[in-house]
Amino acid sequence: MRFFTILVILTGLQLSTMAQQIGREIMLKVDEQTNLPDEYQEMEMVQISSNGKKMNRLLKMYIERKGENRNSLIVFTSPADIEGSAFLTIENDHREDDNWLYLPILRRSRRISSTDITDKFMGSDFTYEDLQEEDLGDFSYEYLGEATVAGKAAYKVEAIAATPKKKQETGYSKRVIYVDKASSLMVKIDYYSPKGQHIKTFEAGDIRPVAGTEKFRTYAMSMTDLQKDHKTELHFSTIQINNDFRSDMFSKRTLESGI
Amino acid sequence: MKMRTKAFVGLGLIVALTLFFGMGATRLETKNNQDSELPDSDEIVKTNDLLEEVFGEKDIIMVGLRVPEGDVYTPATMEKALAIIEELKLIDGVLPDEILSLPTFNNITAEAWGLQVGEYITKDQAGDPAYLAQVKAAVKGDPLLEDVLVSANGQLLNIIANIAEGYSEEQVHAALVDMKTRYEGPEQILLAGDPVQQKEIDLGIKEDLGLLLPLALVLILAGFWLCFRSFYGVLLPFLVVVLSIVWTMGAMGWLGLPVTVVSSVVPILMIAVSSSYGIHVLFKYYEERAHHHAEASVKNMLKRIAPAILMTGFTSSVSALTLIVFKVTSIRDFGIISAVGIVNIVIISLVLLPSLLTLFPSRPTGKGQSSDFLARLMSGLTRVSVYNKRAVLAGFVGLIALSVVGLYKLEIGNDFIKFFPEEHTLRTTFDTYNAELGGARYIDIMFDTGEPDGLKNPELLRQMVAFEQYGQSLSGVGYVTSFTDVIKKINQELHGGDEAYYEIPATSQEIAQYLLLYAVSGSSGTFEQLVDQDYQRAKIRMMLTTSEQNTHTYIYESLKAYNQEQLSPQVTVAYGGEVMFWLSQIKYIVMGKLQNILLSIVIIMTFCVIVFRSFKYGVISAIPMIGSSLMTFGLMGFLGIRLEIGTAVITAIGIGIGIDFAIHYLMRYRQELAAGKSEGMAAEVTMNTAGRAILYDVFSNLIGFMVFVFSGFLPIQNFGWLISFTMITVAIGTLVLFPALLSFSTSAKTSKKTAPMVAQA
Repeated sequence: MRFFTILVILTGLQLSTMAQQIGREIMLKVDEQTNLPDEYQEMEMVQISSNGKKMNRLLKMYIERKGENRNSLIVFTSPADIEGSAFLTIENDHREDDNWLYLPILRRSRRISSTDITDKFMGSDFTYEDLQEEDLGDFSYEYLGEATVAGKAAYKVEAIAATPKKKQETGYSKRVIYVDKASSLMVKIDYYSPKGQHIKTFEAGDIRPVAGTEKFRTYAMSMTDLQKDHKTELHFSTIQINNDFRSDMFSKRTLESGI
Repeated sequence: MKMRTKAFVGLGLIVALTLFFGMGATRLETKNNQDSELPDSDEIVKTNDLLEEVFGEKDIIMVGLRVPEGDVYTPATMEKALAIIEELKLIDGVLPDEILSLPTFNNITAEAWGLQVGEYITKDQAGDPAYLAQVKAAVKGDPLLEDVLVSANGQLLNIIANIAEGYSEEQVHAALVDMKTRYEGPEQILLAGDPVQQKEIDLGIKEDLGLLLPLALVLILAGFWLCFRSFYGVLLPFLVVVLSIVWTMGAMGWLGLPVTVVSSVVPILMIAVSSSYGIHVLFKYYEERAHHHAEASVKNMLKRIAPAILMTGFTSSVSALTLIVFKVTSIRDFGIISAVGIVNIVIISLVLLPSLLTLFPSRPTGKGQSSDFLARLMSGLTRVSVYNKRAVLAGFVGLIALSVVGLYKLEIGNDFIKFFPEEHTLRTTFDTYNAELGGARYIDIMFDTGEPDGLKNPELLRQMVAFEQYGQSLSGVGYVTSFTDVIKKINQELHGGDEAYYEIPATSQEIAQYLLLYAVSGSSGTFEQLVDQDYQRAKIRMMLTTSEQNTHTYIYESLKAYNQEQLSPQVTVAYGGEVMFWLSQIKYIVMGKLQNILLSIVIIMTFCVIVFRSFKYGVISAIPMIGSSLMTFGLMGFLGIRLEIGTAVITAIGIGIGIDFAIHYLMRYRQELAAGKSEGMAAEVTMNTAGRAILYDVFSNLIGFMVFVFSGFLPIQNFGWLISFTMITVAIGTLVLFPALLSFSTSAKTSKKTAPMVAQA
């Protein structure tokens, strides 16, 4: 009997370790697909409230990865009243990020104190955390099995913050991630509140190869806040990778002079 | 069918129906949400629906931290506030990014190095006395913070959390109370907001029923004992009482009618009404039993009492049913369930009692009703009334005139916070919020510019600011918040903190880019509830420092007038929020009351005209209840008791019961006249029979109704006093006024027509 119990426990442990391993492997493939030195995107951001009212913004986004850090520059092109406004974020190794905002009416950029990662990005349903790159070292990933998302086969992986720092700063108790088998891109994520309640859903589709490369991207994304019945959609019109941006791209000077 | 078989059938029927209704009683629900109280077509309901559609269906929770001395800018208090905020975020339904408080306030300030944005007081900063001292200095005079999130004396810190509708009141209240017990001391923790108010009302109702119901039952047992002095005489009517409560509450359950503050009085109302029916039936039985054997007594009793019971049952239930003219759901429900209850009582009295008395006959009591103190009193009363008929009538007219004076003083309006006694925590919390912060109640106003991006138009925004400033200038308004505050504040900070720039900027580009800055600067949760997604509509919240409904009306009317005269035609303004509901409700209460009184008087008079086949008797029958209703309203005017939801139902109940007296009296009087008695004799006999029954009625009703005086809710206490007053005045009206009135009308006739008859006699 005791032998049997031990066997069950061991098998259980082994199964769970195996599930962890598979989960991590799936996420490594995702990382391989998405984690590139640089990326340029043009997109429309549509915020839709529960009564169907919409707010549209057009923006360009430049992303550069340097080691563990990521720099980004967002330039607004529409509506006209905010055209030319831009937001620059530089990630630093051992200190807080630098944020700079350029508003055309002020004719110069202003430094802005950094915000919480659980804060909303541009008032959308994405938080800064949702837009962060997946740092595999910060989470444990457990493979939960297979699933179908929008008619396509996917892996189901549960991600839980593993490091003390991440546990402290995250706004979620867990995420259930669906990874498209064919493209290794995340096509759906269910977000759970610290209380364990399913509060948000991310969905992505329109998977296409990036022109001139073998990498794939989801050209349509949405995030739905289930509590507020509010939704943000991102429609990408252009995605370019391996652009090799000029060296002063992510600087205050570019921010103020325009691109 | 033999009597015994019939009795068994009757008993079986009662048992079956009791089981049926008993099952219904398990489905009962308590409800106090005022949203569903008013018709969907109501202007305020519609604008509130629109507000909810645009800004989300949300209630608010308010938590106050109040220090007995010093101020809240200490690490101990601030850390406690942060811990409370974290706990609030974990309550089911609370929107974590929509908690408004000093620590979570999205503060945008220009510093030498750039713009400081984000939460005002973080966890680390809460423990830093130097930083807190800095915050204290900055809060002083800041229109967004002082008197809004912190009181001017620095002793009260306010936390306002939004909670999405659909939450469990039970859970939220329990979590808040638990939090309060853990965090209280030395700071006082104050709880307010919709879930707290609703739960307190629920708890009040339960407490009330737990206290009043047993009390009423004990009192009524004592009353039965006084009437019958026998075990049987107590048990039988008591059964009627208990079953009528079970049936009626069961019917409420089956009909899906919830228990509200208004309908919580139903069980006790049932006690008051059913006891008098039980007494009537049993009295008649004992009257018959003195001369007949058991079965014949039951038969005779039924023959003589059934018509009266059916008639009074009809008039009482119709009178209760007239409450359906009210457009306020809880009053309408109350009318329906009271009518159903009275029908139940009629069935139970006419089926259960005869069945039981057939199967288990009672011995004759031998206790006659003849010459005792009461008989002498009644005869005396008749004589006084008849011999001083002019004086009696003059007195009555005088009282009516006095009542009309009182009627002019009658104020309308209610305030749910005044449901609670002065020492109730909720009421003291409201008083504290009213005195030290900008209040705990609010009007939500939707400012609609009529076009998308209209809120980026400086001209329209300036109009909005002027509208807000006008609102702020009205007495009773604590403070006004809207997203114009944010725009003005950013404008000021981007201009080096210069106060001259605390205004709406000149161009729409500036406004749009400030909004972008705000969006970039972090949590926009507080913002979403203030502006529509496409910048067409904004929500203005006016906090009110008074619960006085007349002031609310004044504020509403002033704003509407301002809106018409000063704002661009493209701008529309809509009003909503909890306060507006009460305002709207009172309008329906006044209108409903008038319709209800007129309707019940017309129906009952028509009924009496038909039953008595006489216009004169129909009119006379209505006089005591009209007089008594006027006197009740007059008294309310003199005592400053307002016409509101609780007091509005009194006359319907009063008229329903009062008409019974008139019917009993007039029927007997006419029977005696028909039997050939002179009007004087007829009046005296009537007084000694029907009059006596009326006195017992008043007695048993008073026992039931007086219990309300011990209620935890002030309107129900008032209801208890006033309905008792109505009962007494209507009884006096019947017993003193009728002999005088009837002697007037008959003496006029006597001189012409009946003189020969008298001569013959």
